[in-house]
Amino acid sequence: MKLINIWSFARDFVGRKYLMYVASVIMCVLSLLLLSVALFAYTATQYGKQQCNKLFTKGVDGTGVFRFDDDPASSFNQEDWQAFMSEVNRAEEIYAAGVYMEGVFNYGGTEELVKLQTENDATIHTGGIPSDYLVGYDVSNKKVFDLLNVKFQKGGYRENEEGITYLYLGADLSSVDVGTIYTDGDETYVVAGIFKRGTSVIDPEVMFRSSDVLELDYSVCLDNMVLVNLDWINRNWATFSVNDGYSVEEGMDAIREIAKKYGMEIAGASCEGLLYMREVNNEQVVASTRNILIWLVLIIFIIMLCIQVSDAIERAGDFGIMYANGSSVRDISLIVFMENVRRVLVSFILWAVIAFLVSKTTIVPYYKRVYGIADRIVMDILVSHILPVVAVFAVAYMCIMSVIPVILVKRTQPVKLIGGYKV
Amino acid sequence: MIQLKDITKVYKTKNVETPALNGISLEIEDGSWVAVMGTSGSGKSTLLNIIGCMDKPTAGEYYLDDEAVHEASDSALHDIRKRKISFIFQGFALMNQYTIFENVELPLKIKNVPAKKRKKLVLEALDSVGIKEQASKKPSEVSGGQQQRCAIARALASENNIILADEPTGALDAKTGKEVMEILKGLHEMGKTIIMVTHDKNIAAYAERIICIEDGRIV
Ligand SMILES: Nc1ncnc2c1ncn2[C@@H]1O[C@H](COP(=O)(O)OP(=O)(O)O)[C@@H](O)[C@H]1O
Ligand SMILES: [Mg+2]
Repeated sequence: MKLINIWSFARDFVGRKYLMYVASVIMCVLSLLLLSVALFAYTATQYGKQQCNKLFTKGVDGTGVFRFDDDPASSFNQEDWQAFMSEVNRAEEIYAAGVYMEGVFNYGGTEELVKLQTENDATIHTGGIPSDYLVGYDVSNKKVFDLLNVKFQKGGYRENEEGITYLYLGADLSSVDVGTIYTDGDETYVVAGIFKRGTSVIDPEVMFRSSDVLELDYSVCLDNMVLVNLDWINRNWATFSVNDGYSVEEGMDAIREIAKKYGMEIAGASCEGLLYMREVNNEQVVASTRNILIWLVLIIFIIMLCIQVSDAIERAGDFGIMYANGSSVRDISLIVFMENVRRVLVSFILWAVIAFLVSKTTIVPYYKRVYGIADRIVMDILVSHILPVVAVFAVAYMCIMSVIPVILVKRTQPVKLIGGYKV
Repeated sequence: MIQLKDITKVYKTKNVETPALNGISLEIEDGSWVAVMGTSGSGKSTLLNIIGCMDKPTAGEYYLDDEAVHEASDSALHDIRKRKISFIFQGFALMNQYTIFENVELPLKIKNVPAKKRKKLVLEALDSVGIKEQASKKPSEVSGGQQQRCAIARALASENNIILADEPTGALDAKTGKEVMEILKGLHEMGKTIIMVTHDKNIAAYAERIICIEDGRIV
């Protein structure tokens, strides 16, 4: 039978039972949406890893972090720090190393140190992720605010004061003077610096604390802890990448040796390890969400399958008539398949529209409170990670749903179908 | 020309074997009208289904216009069925959601006849069985006789040469049955080969030849 006739028979069958068609489309869309939520929970972690990998010149495999003992009494002075970092950077194993906490730009380190940091920043990181959104994130209070909605006041720059949060602004706010003070309720915020456009800094501690993919937004950074207590410089994490042919562990050992010369103990980890820990931290939550959703999808799937079976039984007579009038089992199978193609195609389009709208109106604004580039991240995850899987699922779905009526037609003597299928 | 040589058919269900046909040999010339008679369960429908390529014989040879049907593959069998054979059933076998017109159109659509030609053939067929006015009605909206006329129109429109009718009047009253037979007579006069199953002597009398079957054998 010609495809156009098969298509038209499929349309007739679908049109005949409109309510059932609508119901099955709703179920199909629902299961696709649930699947997307499960995938989102799963992919967010994967996506963060992928983005980190892109961000580092040497990739996640070739990058690590280290930090010094937490005891402020045993901290470095700035000269020692500079000498140490220079030596680390000269080591054979090390490609580049430096402190990439945002604070380094403004806590008044030596000019040379700042230069070193800036250079290494460019070396280790492959470049900034462009961001057009302006948000501030208060690391200590885990509070996010929209800078565009905050009133700035002219005023002096105050250091070491309780209740003050220091802000680093993104390039988009370069018109704001450093030292500008603004208040929001009881909070006082001080603009401590403006980032150059394209600056990208990864905050390893963020990775370590497993607070999602905060490190992806560098248009505005803020860190009061580093600024308030200069003595605590050694609490910063430093990032390093290793030369080709060396593992992160080897690099770590080299740094440890150098640190010993300065009488310091350092602790470190590979980025891969940190990301792994983050994954483990998130895993349980992700896994349980995922499992619940997958079960729901499965249940919906089974319900749909039941509908399909009862529909096939109900239509056995029609299949028999089709057969007696010259269509082959293959023709009938194709008609059933086409019906499912129609159903799933419509469901898929509906899914895409709903997924896009929900992302735009709910998910993006939610994450945007933290990540200025949430638009891009969410849409990227949707298009590159969720859509292909949902599409594959939809195709599998078409096939499985089509199989049942075909089996029924195949295993029953077609002439018997005319009188209806006797279970 | 239909040639059956020593056809047997055994139905196998789980561990029960039911012999339905026991060595049927038969020749039916093109354009002839044959009635198959016999008691219930004697194998009439089975014979008709095998002739109609809806079912395969367990053993024996079947030639249709010199094509060896018993050796044909499933797809070849389907092709023969599509090109040569039309069925008329006791229960009409119409699609309830389709109109009379669409029901008659069905085999033509399956045969990929272009839409224009389809319309012409359907209207001609409906006209010759006298239900052209009912074309846009659903089967449930017309009488049993009209439904069977629709089924006959469907066979007619498909332009297949062999018409197999399994108790075509079984669900109709005597008067309507007679009307339907008159239409079949018309088809016979057009040169169609008609094989019909019936246990009604009056109906069988329309045929040129009567074959009686008992326990899967011709008597
Ligand atoms: N699909 C089937 N499976 C098993 N036995 C069948 C099947 N169809 C028919 N039979 C058996 O084959 C015999 C002949 O049936 P059938 O050809 O339908 O007889 P008739 O049409 O003369 O009443 C009967 O005994 C019937 O029970
Ligand atoms: Mg019978």
